[in-house]
Order: sequence, then structure tokens, then C-alpha cells
Amino acid sequence: MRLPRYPFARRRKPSSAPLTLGQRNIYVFPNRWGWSFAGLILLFLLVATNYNNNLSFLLAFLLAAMALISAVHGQRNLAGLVLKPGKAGAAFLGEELPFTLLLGDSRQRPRFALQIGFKEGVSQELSLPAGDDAVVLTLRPRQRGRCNPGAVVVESRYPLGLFRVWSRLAFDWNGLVYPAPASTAEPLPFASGGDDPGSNDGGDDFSGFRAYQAGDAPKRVHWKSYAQGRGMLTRVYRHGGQKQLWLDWNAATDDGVEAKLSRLCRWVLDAEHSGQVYGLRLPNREISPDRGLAHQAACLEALALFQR
Amino acid sequence: MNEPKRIPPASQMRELIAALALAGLPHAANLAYGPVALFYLMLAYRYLAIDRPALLPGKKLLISAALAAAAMVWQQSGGIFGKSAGSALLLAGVGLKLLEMHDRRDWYVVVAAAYLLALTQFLFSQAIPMAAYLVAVVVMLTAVLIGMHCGKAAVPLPLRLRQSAALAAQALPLAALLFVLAPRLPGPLWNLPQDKTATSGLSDRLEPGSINQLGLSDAVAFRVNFNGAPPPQNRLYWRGPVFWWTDGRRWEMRELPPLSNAAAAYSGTAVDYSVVLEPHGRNWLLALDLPQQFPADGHLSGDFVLLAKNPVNDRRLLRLRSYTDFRYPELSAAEKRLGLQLPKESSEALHRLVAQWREGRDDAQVVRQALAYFHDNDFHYTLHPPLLTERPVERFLLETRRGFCEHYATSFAVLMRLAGIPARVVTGYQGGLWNDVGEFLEVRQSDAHAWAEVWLNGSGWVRVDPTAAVAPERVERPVVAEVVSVDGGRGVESDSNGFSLAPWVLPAKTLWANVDHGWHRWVLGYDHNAREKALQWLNGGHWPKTLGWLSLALLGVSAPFAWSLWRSERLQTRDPALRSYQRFCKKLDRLGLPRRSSEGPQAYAARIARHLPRLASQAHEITDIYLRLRYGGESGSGLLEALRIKVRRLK
Repeated sequence: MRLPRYPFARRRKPSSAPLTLGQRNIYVFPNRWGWSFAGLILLFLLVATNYNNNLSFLLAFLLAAMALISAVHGQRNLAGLVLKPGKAGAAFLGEELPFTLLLGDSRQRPRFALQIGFKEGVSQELSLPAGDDAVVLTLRPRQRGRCNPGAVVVESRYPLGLFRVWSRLAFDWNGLVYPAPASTAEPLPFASGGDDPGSNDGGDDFSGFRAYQAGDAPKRVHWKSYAQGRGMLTRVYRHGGQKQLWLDWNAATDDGVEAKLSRLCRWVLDAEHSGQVYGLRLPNREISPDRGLAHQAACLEALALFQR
Repeated sequence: MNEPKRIPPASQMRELIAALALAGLPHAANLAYGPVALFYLMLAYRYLAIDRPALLPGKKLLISAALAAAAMVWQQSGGIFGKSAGSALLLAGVGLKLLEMHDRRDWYVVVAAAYLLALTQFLFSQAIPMAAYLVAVVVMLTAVLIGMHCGKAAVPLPLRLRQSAALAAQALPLAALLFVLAPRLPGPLWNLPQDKTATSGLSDRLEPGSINQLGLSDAVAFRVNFNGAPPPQNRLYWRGPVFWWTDGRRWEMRELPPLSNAAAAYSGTAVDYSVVLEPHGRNWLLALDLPQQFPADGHLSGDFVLLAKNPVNDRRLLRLRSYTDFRYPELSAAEKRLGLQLPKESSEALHRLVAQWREGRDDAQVVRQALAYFHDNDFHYTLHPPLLTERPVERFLLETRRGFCEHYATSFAVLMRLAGIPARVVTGYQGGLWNDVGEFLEVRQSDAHAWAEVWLNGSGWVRVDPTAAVAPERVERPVVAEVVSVDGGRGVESDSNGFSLAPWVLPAKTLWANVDHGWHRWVLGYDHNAREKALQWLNGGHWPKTLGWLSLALLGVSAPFAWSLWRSERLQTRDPALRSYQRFCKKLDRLGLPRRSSEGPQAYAARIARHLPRLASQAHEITDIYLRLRYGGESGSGLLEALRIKVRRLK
């Protein structure tokens, strides 16, 4: 059992490798119920002394010993767990940012009532039968850019609730926080008045089919072939003649960097949603026009990391 | 991160109610009916309300119910302090609190109160069965507590009971160590009102004629361990209150100036012994007469009774030294006056009887005459004597001639006083049942006895037991009792109906008495004096040695734990196939190719083949056997042996 050093716990370097919970990183300290229980035992001893009652003494000592040993059981409930950083997600500012934490068990023991979460996020309860698991932890970030979620806190009050048994582990992983999309809609900034964004489908030259990708506009799916059982195909158009949509830093008329980024973010989402081909032009970076989820993610990442 | 204040589900409420019902059960015998009935009513009501939350009362109703309950306890227990009233209040309080449980804190309050409830049972009984029962209650309560901290995983009750029993078993050595070594304050810390529950076969008044049925309680009065051989049975007179003054019917005690210990002349061999005295609520310490060494808080009264400063309300361990041969100092004027006091109404018939005995004989001869009178006439020893309302002594001696020790002792004393010989009546216990297994003497309330003492010039106070003249078995019982059948049936080993018990009952009883005595002597009798003795024995006065013993004991207590922890670190499993495979992984780890935690055995084997081609075939073979054993449902020592050998040969 490790003596409590909670306020002075050494900050360890964030790790990208799996970390195993053990004597070095598990802390045990009585909580409020634990202190109350100590008070209860004192009361027992008082009664026992006053009535000179030896079995009361024995009961008091038995409960005290059970409390102490429950701390060992609590420590064992955590010891041997292997935590490994999994996929760090992405989210818009203001939303929950998900991180996948992989849980392994070097001792193949059932684990009870684990509370896992980020220090500043919401924790969730988890009981594991002996074996591996994964848990998605979330955090509500305060600013855009790369986000390290801070320490993962694993804690438990098993078995008697008298002790808080916990461990704080810092991992080297970063989620991506996009700017929050502007809340008011503004038309997409087509260059020189351009085409009507709604009618460009028919204007492009049809160039063939490709396999359906998630995010392709339903309009472009070749439903006929799908109905014939040939799978989902998407029509591909050559957009050489099309006027390109550039989401330009300068076209955003909002004040301030963050507001401009929010506007651009909204445009990226709108453009992708309507199936446009679009490019992104930031003062320090340019992403050539394309469409699809990967393209959108690249654009959003550029926005997220702008000047960061 | 704050734990949400989740209220445990209905199943846990059922468990809690069951645990509480068990915890409160023994109080049904200890307390007034009111609080106990209220408690079980509340439990039943709460049980019904589990599925019907609308039944739960509001705050106002609860407060008035609590006040009413407190008033009831006050009325039935005469206050709210003391163990009976306190336990009753706790019982009623827990019952009511059950109806008002909103969050986790309330649960903790109820569980803590339930533990306390279990504790209060010990204030009423510390017998072995009670201790075992309450340990079971504690295990059950702890299982409920574990259930509150298992999270969403609904761990079934039997498993939790096993967990909590294991916890208790692991805690027991440490608890025992604390019990022996933790410093004790000599209690009580403050005086609590004592409940008068203690009983004794002895009383501070004697009125033989008014009782026509002597209840023989089988309860243990005290138990005695002798250092050395025990004195013969007919010398085992355990001295209690002495009676001087009589009005012909009732006998009363008189206070004499305390006896100085040095005044008595002891002779013969000393008897060293220790007594575990059950609480009886009076000051008598029931020593073998005449005590020479006794506890510091005791003193000898003028009539040689060993008295404690305070009433014996708790079990006490006394270490004593007595002499059964001794001589008393001079008879004081006050003693002589008291010893010759006679009731106002005299009896002509008795006067004539005594005068006939005297006829020039000396005092000792008169005593012998009187004993012969008891022996030769048609006297019977019986526990069911006829009631004597008029002139009890005369009617007993001349007419009914049926009675028990008190009749004989008191009438003998009256006869002696009529003859001018100072006499007094002594009560106490006589004899006891020798326990062969534990080698101790067990004295029960049914061994209560009364005898007389007369002052003979030159000999001092001499004990005369007229009952012995009538029923010698009563006094000179064999050491290990056989069935004794006197008029009226006073056999210890025959039950109240007179049937003799099965042959195995006596050994079983002896054995149990032995266990019980050990329990009383070593567990219940362990106090701060005993602790000091234990410590002295441990260190012989040297602290370093004590520390050595202490750390050794702690080591002994924690070793099983350390072992289990170490084992769980080392051996992750008992599955031999998995163990072999882990050895295989360890070997490869040493070769610089550790298995990744996310990597399955096959992927690992593939990676080994890529990075260490020379081991490729071996790794594949091992992995294949391992997978077949562990997941393919195959078994067999041959396959396992193959795996073991292949792993061993891997280099």
C-alpha cells in the first residue's frame, strides 16, 4: 500500500506507451466515509472501555482491521490494469472531444466500480470482467488547436467505500479541436458571382463511376446500379469547366481571427454538405479544391491549427 | 471527480433490511417489547415500501414518530442513558431512519448504526454463541457495504458474502494482535447508570420459612483455577454474606469493624488460586476462607467476608491466596452480644431441648449433641419444604423436619444461641463441579449453600455444617460428580424431571464447560492488568525485545498477505498452458521482441517470424499448441508437455 502523497504527487512525463497500474502510481487515502468509520471505531472503543466489555473491544479491532485490509483490496482492484492511449478524436470547440482509452489487464481479474475520466472531464463508471476493454473518455476543450486532455484519473472505492484508491496517468496524445462553426448562415463566397450553387450538378461533364465513399452526396449515387445489385457507385464529374469555390480568408468579413475561422469552418461544412468542390485559402496555407470527408477533415485541421 | 449520489437499488435495500433484522434479533430478549416491536414494524413497513414508494411518510410525520419513540423508550426504560435505554433508543432510531433514506450518506448512517447495534448486543451477553452469531451479522453487513461499492456490476450476494467473510478472516489475526497489544484504559471512563440485571444465588436477607421452592439456577457463579492440587471438596466453602441478627424468622447482616489481615493466625498450606467471577451486582468476592492475599480494591470485613469496593458488575479475574486452616482473634464484646442475640418470642420446647443437651457438658460437646440430633432424628434434605408461617424454627425442628441448607443452618444457630454459644449463619457456595478436561472447578448458582459458625473457647470461630449431618452427600460430593439422589433429588446430572441423562452428555458438558471457561478466562477476562503481564512476559522489561516481538507478530500477520500479493504479481494464472506461453513471451522479451499488449498470439508469431527468422518455426509451433490448448477445446497432458518442452528448448 502506498502512503498518500496526493498533493505532492510527482508529475510524470506524459507517456505514449501503455502504463501499468501498480505500487508506483496507485494512491490510497481515506475519504469522508472512511474518516467517519474511524470515528465509529473510536466510539466502539469508548463504549468497550466504559463497560469493560472485551468482545466490544474485539469487534472494534476487527472492524478496524477489516477497514485497513479493505485498503489493500482496493489497491489490488486497480493494480495490474494496463492503460493505453488509443485514438484521439476531433471535435468542434464547444463539443465533447472523444478519446479512446484501451484497457488491458495483466492479471486477468474482475475489476469493480472503476471510475475513469479526465481530471477535468466527466468520469464514467466501469466494471470489468477479467479481460480487455476500451472506453471512450470525453472532455470539453476550452480552445481550438491540439488538445492534450491532461491526466487520466482511474479511481475506485471498492470494496467498502472507506478509501479513495486512485491513479493519475498522463499520456502523450492529442485531440484536435476545430473552431466552432459560426452560428449564422452566410452564402458561400463563390468567386465573381459564379454559378448558382444548386444547379452545378448537371453542368459538369460526366467522367465515370467510382466506388461509393461515405459522405458522397445522395444525388450522385447511381441508384440504378445499386438496384441491380452491383453495389453503390458514385458518379464522378470532371469539373474543369466549373467555377471553383474558394473559401478565402479574405472573403470572411467577420472581425477577429477566431470569428473569421468560425466563418470559414461553417463554410467548409456547408460546402461539403451541398456536395461542392471547394478549396481553402488561409494567409499561410492553401488547400486545393476537392471534396469528400478526408478533404473536409484536412480543411478543418488547417483551421484548427491556424496560428497554433 | 465526484461520485454521483446514486441510491442503491431495491435488491440492496432488501439485503440491508435482512441484515438489520439479524442485527437486532438478540435484543428481543434484552429489551422492553416496545422498541423491539417498533423496530421490526419499521423493517416490515420499509420492506413493503420498496415497491410502493408512496407509502413512505413525510418529514413531519417522521419527526413526531421519532419523538413518540423516544418518549416510549423513556417510559419503558426509565431514561435514555444506560445500556438498555441506549440500545432501545438506537433500535428505534435505526428503524425510523430506514424510512428516511435519500442519498448515499443516509445509507452510511444506517450501516454504521447497524454495526453499533451489533456491538450493543455484547453489553448483554458475551457468550461464545453470541459472538459467533454477531460475527455472522458483521459479515452480512459488510457484504451489503460491498454491494454499495461494486458499481453497476451486480455482484450476487453469495459472492459478496464470501468476499466479506474472506475480509473478516484476513482481518482476524490483526484484530487479535490489536486486542492483545493495544493499550487499555481501566474503565469505566464515566459512571453510567447500571442496569440491575445481575442475579445471584445469594441474597442480603435470609428467610428460610417463607420459601417453599428453591430455584436451582444452572448459571455459572464463578470458576476457579488452582495453582497446585485443589483442596478436598469438604473444605471448599466459598464465603459470602454473614448473618447475625434474627427476629426468629428473618436474618440480617450487621456491619462489624474491618478485620486487620495480620490478626488472623494462619496454619497449614496456602491455597493459591484464581477466580473468574461472574457479575452479580454485589460486593462479595466469594473467597475460600480465609483469604490472605487479595486484590487491592478488596478488604476483609469483621466477619471474614472478602468485599470489593464497588459492586461486581463486570466479570472479574481475581488472584487469591487463602488458608483453610486458621485461627481467629479474640471475640469482641460486640460480636459476643450479636452472636447471642435471640428472637423476642422464646420457645419453651427448644429451651428444654437445649437444657437436656447441656447437662454439664462443655460447648464442643453441646455442638456434637446438636448434630447428633439432626442426624438421628427423621430430618430430610429437600428443596421443596413445607411453608412455615408460625414459629418457623420450632416447627421445623420439632414437626416438619424437612428443609434445605438455610433451614438447618439458621435453626442450628438459634439452638446454639439458646445454649449460650455465640453463633452466626454464613452463606456462600459449597463445593463445585470439577472439570477434568480443563482442570478447573466450576461453581454454579445451584451450589449456593448456608452453614453456621460457632465460637468455641480455645478454637475461635468453628464452622459447623448441620446439612452435612443430614445429607453428607451435599457437602462431600465426589470430585467428579456421579448421579446423586437425595430426598427431593438434588443431582446435578439429572435434569429437573429426575431422568438421568445420556452417557455422552456429561463428557460433552464437561468439554463445553472447559471451552467456555477458557473463553471467559482468556478472552473475556483479558484486561489492562493481563495486558501488562503479557507485555512483561514478552519483553521481560526490555523495550527492544518488545519491538522485536511486535515486528515478528506483525510479520506473521502480514506474511499471508504479502504472499498472496506476491503470487498474484508473479503468477498471473493457474492455467498451465497460459503459464508456459507467458514463459515463452518472457524469453522473447529478453531477446528484444516483447509482445505488445494489443497483439494476439498469431500476430505475435508472425512478427517473430519477420524479425527473428531463425525462431519462426518454433514460434509458430508453440503458438499453435498454445491456441489449441487454450481455445481449441483440446486438453491432454501430452500436448501440454510438448508445449512445455518446446518453450524450454527455445533459445
